[in-house]
Amino acid sequence: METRRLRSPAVVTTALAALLAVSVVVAVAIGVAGLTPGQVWEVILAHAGLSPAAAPSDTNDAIVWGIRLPRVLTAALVGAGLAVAGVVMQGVTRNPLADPYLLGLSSGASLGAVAVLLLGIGSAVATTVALPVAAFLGALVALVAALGVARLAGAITPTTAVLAGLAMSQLFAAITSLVIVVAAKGDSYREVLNWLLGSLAGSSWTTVVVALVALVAIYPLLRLYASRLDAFALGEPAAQALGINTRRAYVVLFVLVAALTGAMVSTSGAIGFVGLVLPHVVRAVTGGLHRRVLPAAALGGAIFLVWADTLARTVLDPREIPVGVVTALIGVPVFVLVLWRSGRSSWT
Amino acid sequence: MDLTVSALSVARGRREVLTDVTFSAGPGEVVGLLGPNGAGKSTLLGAVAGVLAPSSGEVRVGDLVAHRAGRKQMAQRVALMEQQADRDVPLTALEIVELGSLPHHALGRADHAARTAEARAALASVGASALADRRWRTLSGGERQRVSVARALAQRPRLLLLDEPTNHLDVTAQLDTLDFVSGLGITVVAALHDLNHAARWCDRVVVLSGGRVAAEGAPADVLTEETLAEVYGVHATVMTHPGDGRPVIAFDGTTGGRPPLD
Repeated sequence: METRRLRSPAVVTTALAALLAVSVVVAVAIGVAGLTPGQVWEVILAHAGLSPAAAPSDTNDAIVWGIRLPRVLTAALVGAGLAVAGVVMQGVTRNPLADPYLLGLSSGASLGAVAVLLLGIGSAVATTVALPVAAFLGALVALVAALGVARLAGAITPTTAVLAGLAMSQLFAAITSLVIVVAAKGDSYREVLNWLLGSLAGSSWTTVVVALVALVAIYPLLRLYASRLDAFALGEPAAQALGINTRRAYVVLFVLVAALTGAMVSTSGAIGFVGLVLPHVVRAVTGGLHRRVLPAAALGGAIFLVWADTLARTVLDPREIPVGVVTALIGVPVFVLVLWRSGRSSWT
Repeated sequence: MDLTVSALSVARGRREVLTDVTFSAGPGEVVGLLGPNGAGKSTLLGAVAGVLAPSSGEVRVGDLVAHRAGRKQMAQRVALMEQQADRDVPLTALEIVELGSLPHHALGRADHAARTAEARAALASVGASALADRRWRTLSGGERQRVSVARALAQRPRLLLLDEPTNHLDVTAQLDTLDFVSGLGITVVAALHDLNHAARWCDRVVVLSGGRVAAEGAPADVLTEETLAEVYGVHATVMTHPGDGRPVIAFDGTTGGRPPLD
């Protein structure tokens, strides 16, 4: 049983964590001013208070510590958050197509964030706090609207939830665009693109902290629901008969996912396909148990977005592609491949 | 474990599906729920499991009132095996059976090694150890049924509710399943379509018609030609099994009381 052993949960997690660490260092090295991974490592060691063999130059330090590392770390954290949000949404709705982007949470969050930016809260510190909070509220409004519409359509089923979510997603994206075009000064179209397709160009140590706090606070809570998410796959009555208060669990999970999505979108706009595709790829390796899927999806999502963003900022150098375009270009073929391999099953 | 259903009414939406249903089951008794499609058998099982709240009346399982007890408390005593839905579950047979022991562990801090051991034992008890690592979607209808029974057993119930447990099964598997669950020594309430199964395996039967109890009692007393004509709209000849004296039903045709489906 060679493959069984290779796929044991601990092996998968360790391998993905190692791959993520290497990816971060290599991705930071790649760019207009090419650096070696060794030079990147020197800068990181110097900031960690450990004296590297050779002291890094000021230029290298500015590039690595000032620009690229916060961007790559934000990408990793946002990728992890969105992939985990996708896993949970798919588990709760029992629909393999559910993800925060398709269900409108991301565009709702974008609208919340854009509203705060355009209203101008005042000090930079206030904006740092208000932005993710407004994005969370936007995501929550979009989610409640989607579930409300699904309810109007008769009942909240896996199908109606996703259809209503798609409609809300379009609606909130349209309102976001409208608000930006009406209210923004300067290059409003770039702003629209950044919020609707996602961009990590605005990353800073602040966005790292926002994404990190959200992930560290919310992931462990979601992890506590792993067994309940497994039981949801049997259908709501069966989950209830196993002693689960399904309604309460749904509310808790939806709020946590809205908060996670809101925080991630407030740093980088609505990046699609990470939450949709990653869970499927991961399940193909780990199987469907959420206690295995969640950590693997977090690490896999981080690796995926680090590389997607590296492509986004280098392929058409010096111009940038919105990272959502890259995630779609990579994500859709991968998704199709996974669907094809999984045959008749809608789950992988 | 004693089950007492008293004056139970259950509505789904605005439609009342069950009206004033009363029956009971003693410890270790096997009770068959009979009645045509739409008579309310599945709804009754849902209400007994505490998954559906009554609009009036109550269900008591031992000293617990189903709709007032905590979900987990109920789940530690009552297992519900639903009708087989064509549902895709992205788990293996063993992982699904493991879910059965959820009510006995702290959610979120479940002891996986213990749960896996319990699940393997449950699979072994239904003779399905070989299915452990198979994905749900690769299982046949009969295999799925076995895995579902194993999941219900992993719940260590004292009251087992089965919704058409012999669906999708060949004749051998049908007899195996009914022998197995009736031999568990726990109280079993099973919705059954096959009246001969009910006659052979049930200590008592409850016949539902239009959401009400049309007849209740020992199979020999309830499964009469008159009751079958009235409830199912069929002409039947009820004979006595020469071996065990239980009723055996042969169907002769419909009474025309219900329009044909085509």
